[in-house]
Amino acid sequence: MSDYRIIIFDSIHEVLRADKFFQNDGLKVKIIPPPRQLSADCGIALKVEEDFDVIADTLRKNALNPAGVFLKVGDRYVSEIKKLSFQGGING
Amino acid sequence: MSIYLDNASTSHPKPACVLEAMKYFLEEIGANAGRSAHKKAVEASRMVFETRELVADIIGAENSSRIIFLQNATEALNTAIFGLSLSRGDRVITSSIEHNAVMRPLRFLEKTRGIILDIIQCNRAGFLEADEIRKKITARTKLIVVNHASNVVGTILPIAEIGQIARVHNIPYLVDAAQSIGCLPMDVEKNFIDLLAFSGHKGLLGPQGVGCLYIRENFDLVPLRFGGTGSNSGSEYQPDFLPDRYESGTLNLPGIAGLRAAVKFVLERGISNIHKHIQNLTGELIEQLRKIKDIIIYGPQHKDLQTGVVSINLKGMTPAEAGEILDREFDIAVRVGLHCSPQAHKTIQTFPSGTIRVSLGIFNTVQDVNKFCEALCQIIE
Repeated sequence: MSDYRIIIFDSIHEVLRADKFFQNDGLKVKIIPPPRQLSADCGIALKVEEDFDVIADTLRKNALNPAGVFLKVGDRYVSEIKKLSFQGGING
Repeated sequence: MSIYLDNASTSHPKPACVLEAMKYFLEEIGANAGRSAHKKAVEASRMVFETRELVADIIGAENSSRIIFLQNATEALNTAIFGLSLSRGDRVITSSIEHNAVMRPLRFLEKTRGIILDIIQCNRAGFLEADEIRKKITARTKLIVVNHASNVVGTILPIAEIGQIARVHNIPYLVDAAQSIGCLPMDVEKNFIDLLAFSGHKGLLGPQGVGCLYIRENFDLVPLRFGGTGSNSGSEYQPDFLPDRYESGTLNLPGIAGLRAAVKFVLERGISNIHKHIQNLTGELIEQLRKIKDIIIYGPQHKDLQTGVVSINLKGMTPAEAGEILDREFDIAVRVGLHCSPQAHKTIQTFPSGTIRVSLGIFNTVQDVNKFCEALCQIIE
C-alpha cells in the first residue's frame, strides 16, 4: 500500500467538512477510527492517500485547521503539523 | 375538507419527503451522531453535518459550524439571552411586540439580576423606526433584540437598519426569526446579525423539536447546557469549539433528518417563490376581509409590510367564540387569544381578549382564503 496520512480535527464537524473538501478536490480520502497510537478527541479521523503538498493545499484553501497531520512510516506515525505554516483556524 | 390556517404556530402539512427522511433515519441509520466511528454513526454524523450546511445556506452564514441545533427557537433565544451573562445595570433594548420567548427571559433577568429593559413602543400596526432604537442606546446597552416579523400581526421590522445601528455601536444584536425563516429571505451578513434564533418546524417545514441558533464568528456565549459532546471526552471541561460547545447531549436526530429534507424542499421551491406565493395570498385575504362588514383588521394590512399572519376580530364576538365556530362548523383551524405575546396585544390594543390569528403557509391556496372569508360572512350573518 502507498503512503498515507492521518488527519485529526477537534470536532466531527471539522472532519466532515474536510472530508467534503478533499472529495471535491478528487483526493483519495476515507473516514476511519483513529489508529490507537494517535488520539483523536472526536473519535474519528481522515485517512488520505495523497502527497503532503496536495493535502496542505486543500487545507489551506478552505481554512481547515487540523489538530494533527501524521505520515505513516513503517509502523510509526510522524507528525507533519509544523509543516503547515498557516494560521486562521475556524474552530472558534 | 379541513382548512389549516395556523402556520404561524407550526406549518402543516409537511412535505412527504420529510416523513420519508425521518422514517429512513430511524429504520436504516438509527445510530447516534458524534459518538462512534462505526458506519452507521458516521452516517448519522454526516446527516447532521449536511443539515447544518443547508441551514447555513438558507441564512447566508459562511461557516456552518456556527449553526447550533437545539430543541426549538425558544431554547435558541434562551441560549443567546442567558449566554451573554448580563449583570446589574446592563441595559437591553427590545420592541413592544416581542414573543414571550424573548420577554420572559428578559423579565426574569430584570427581576433576578437587575438588568434594565428599554422597550421601544411600536405603533398600533406593530411598526417601529430604527432610529427610536438608536436614541435609546447608552454605554450600558449590552443587547438589542427584536423579532424579524411579529407572530401576532405579521409586521416586518427593519432588521437591517437596526443591525447597522447595533454594529456601529458594537452592541450584540439578536434577531428572533421564528416567523420569517423560510418565508422571507434571510442573510445574516447583510442584516448585521450576531445571533439569529429560529425554529425548524414553521417556515422551514421540518418536524417539531428542532430549533437553530446562529452565532457569528468570534462571538462567544456561555452555554445553557453542559455535558457530553462526544468530543474531548478526556476532559471534564466543556469544549470551546463549535458546534460542540452548545450541543451537549444527544441531538434530535430523526428531527434533524426531517429538517434536512424539509430545507432541501424549501431551497428547491425557492424562498423568493414561497414568499411571493404567501404574499399574494395575504394580499387576497386582506382585500376580502376589508369587504366584510363588522370585521376589525389589525396590523399593517399590506402584503408587502407583513408576513402571512393576519389578526382580526369580529365585532360583538370574542375571538374564542369565533374560533370555536370556525373549527366546529367549518373545519377551519386558526389560533385565537394572545399568542404568547401580551406586549404585542397591548400594542395593538387587543389585550386581554386577543384576536383571531390567520396564518398562511406554502400549501394554502386562494380557495382556502375564499372559504375562510365565506365562513366569516356566514358567522356574522
